Amino acid sequence: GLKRLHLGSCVLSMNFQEIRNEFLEIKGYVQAEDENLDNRILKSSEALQDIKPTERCCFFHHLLRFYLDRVFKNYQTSNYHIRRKVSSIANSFLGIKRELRLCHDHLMCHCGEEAKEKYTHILSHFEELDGQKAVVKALGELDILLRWMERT
Amino acid sequence: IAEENPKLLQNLMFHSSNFENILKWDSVQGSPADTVYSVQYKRYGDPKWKPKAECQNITQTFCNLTYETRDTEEQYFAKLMASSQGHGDIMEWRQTTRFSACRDTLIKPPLVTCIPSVWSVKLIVHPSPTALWTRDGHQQTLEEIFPDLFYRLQLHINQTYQMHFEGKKKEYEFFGLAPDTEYQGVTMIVIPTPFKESAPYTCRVRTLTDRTW
Repeated sequence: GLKRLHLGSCVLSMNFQEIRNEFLEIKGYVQAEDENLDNRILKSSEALQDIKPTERCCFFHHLLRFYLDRVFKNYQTSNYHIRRKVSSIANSFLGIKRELRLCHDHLMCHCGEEAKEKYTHILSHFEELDGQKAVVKALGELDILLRWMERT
Repeated sequence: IAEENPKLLQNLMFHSSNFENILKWDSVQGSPADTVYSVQYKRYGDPKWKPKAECQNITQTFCNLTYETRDTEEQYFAKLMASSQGHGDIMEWRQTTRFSACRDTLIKPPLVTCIPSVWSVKLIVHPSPTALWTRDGHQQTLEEIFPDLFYRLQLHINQTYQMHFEGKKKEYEFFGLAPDTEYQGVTMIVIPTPFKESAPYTCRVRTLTDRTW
């Protein structure tokens, strides 16, 4: 289940299948909540694997913080099972963020223009949408983020 | 229209294997015989729905959307309108959940040739074709799409004992077998990312008779 994530000189290992399986359990519910099919937050133009390797760590760090601070924290549902799964995924992301800290401490997480620009695009896609609708859409797009991570 | 009391159609979903993506649905028992269906599709994040030209006002209950959903890194929706004029002009819409071929496609069993000798059995795995083609007309294989793909092979000796192989190469030979004996070879495709396993391909093969005596 452990997979290596190559973010330039920063290499993380993470239990991919566990996060993917957890998301598969909530995917149908969360994606059905997202009725806006015309918009997308994680667009192919900002894909993680297409960013130059030296800036991938920084971009990924931004994405982790985005999901932890703007999505998981603000997602509301009356469904207990879904809530438990979302917090479990959030805990996995926290673990990845801790590992990423090591790369940052060893100066392997350089933030350049490309990372900043692409993250700004993603944030603007998110902020164009209404509060909880944006949160639901971003959560429903976790499989897109996971696919980007798989391809990195 | 909630799925609970459909009049014309139900169970609309993508059925995908080796990236051949077929939209399928069921008519409802007792629905009018003159019911016709029209399919539209769209990429997640695009504003426009597009009609599938070959699937407008059709009576069959499937539609091949392989070409329209061929970008394995994108996600798609399809929606279907069912209508019947003859019985009070009924019309119903259904829409699929979000479909991602890369995540949702099932993997067909591998193509394997099983070759017996006197003391061994050789299994040769052939590349698995998909429904995807490159711009220059080359049919893509699973091995090209998933570089980390590997094979898992077993030879069942008897009820309890099996020999195993696992790897990316194409040819595997199980040695130390008995002549003129039946064995069962089982081969599966395994894709680590995103994790997928094919159904097994099974071949029954009998080793040759030892004529040296």
